[in-house]
Amino acid sequence: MPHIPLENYLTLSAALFAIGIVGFLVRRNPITMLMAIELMWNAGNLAFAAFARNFIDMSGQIFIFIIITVAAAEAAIALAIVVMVFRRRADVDVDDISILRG
Amino acid sequence: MMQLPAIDYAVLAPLIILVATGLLVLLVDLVSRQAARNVLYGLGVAGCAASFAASLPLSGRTVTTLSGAFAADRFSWGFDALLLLTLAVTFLLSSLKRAEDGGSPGSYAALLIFCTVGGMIMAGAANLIGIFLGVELLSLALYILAGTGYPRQASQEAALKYVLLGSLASGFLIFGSALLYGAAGSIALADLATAAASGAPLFVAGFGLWLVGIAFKLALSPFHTWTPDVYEGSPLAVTAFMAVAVKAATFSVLARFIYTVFQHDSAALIPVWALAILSMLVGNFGAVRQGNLKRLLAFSSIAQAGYIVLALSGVGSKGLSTMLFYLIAYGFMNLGAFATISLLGDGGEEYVDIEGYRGLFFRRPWVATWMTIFFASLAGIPATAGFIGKLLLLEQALGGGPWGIAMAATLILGTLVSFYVYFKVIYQMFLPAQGQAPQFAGNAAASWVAIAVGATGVMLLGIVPQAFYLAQPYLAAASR
Repeated sequence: MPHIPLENYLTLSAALFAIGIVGFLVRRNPITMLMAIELMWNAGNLAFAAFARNFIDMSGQIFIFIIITVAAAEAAIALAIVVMVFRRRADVDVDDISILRG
Repeated sequence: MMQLPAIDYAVLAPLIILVATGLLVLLVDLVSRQAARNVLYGLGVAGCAASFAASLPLSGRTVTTLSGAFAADRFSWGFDALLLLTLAVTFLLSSLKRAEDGGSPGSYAALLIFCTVGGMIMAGAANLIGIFLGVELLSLALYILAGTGYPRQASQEAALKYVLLGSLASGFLIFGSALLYGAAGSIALADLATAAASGAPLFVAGFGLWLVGIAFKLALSPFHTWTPDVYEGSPLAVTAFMAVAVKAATFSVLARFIYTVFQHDSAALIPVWALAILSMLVGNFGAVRQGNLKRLLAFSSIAQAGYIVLALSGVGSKGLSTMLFYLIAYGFMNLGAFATISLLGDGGEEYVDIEGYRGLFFRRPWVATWMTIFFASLAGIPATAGFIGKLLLLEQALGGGPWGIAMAATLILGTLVSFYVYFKVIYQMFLPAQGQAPQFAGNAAASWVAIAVGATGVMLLGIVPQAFYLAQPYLAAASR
């Protein structure tokens, strides 16, 4: 199997991270924004995996398991909050959710 | 042969007791369907006391456990004590039943407790996993707590904004941690110091991203935009907890990271100083045009976060003592201010419009007096905790080179502006009264206790500061 250098993994993860940020900034639907955030978290996971493989070190891999677990909890809470807001109003667009400003 | 980590349960006892309390509260709520909220909150306060008692033997020790992942030292002990006090006072503030509060008191109490556990993990975290876990435990519980006033639309909105921007910040924290790990080959903070000294680009990029995540949680400008909205929308007791506990726990992480990883004159720290200067300006000037007390206190907390960064700028470990002192002072004056606000309220509505405080002194003299004391301390009037805290910060910053001096100058400018902000509120209370007198919100006894705690703290810290100044809060494995 051909060896893929560390740089390639890092470039991919940096690209995923950037796509996540841009997605968060341009999309106005909270569910899509959460998907963009998920992409950023997983960009971090990919970088961790690549470094852990590079160093032959387990702590990076353990970090990934913890991130995945926390991401599941975070998604559950975030979706519950979106549902709570959705019950009040038929469409969910963050630009319309704006009683709080100043 | 796999090596099992040695676990020192005495070090973890305060955390374990608090988690057990949280589970107990949930169980009691489940078994006795209609448990009075005061019983559940009373259990929570008892848990705080038990956890604090278990942490007392640790106050003089400097140990690490879980293979160096978790440190118990004088520094983390100070933060644990502050977090437990904040939790207990938050329970007192929560016992006022407000018409718009929905949800079950059992899960509310348990979430507050788990939130505090997250904060205590952050105070002791000595590697990147510990920091991440603590931050997330604290944040995930707070996202829900921000929405516990959900019959009000503002509370729903606060929860949504907080969860979206908070998770975004966590994304930065994770990616930054990954790059830091890549630069150092280890997740232990002590091992990051070597990579920091070399100034590798990977390390600098990692620290930058990690700092963005932390600055979001600290509400340092320009990452503060969520703060006023979330503070305004959340229920009052949750706002008080958020203002004090989140800031204290996140500052403990930043301080441990900076003191363990960097030399005091490292160029990589310049962005931290720049964030502090910007926060002091944005926080104080932003507060000027606020007409809602919760928003005003949100901007005040942004400015105060900027002030607290000054503690990290000087040479030597005195900065840690100063930071802890200022955070304790900040905790007392904010909890006190929120407690006085919680006293008043017509028909369960929160009483947060500054115009409504017009003539309060002639209607409710004691409320106005206490509020004046807390706001004077926030401004930094002599003989209050805020004054001594700012003096200590200035002393620390003046030893911190050109950036330290720039921050000290900004602190003085910011304080001048903040006099206008806080005295605008005090001035309102002493104007001639008109209209209806504000009613007390329900049974206010618990809030009076909270005010007494805050007022005693503010005055003691202002008059006998040395009693609260923890000399040399050592860090386990610090480089300076």
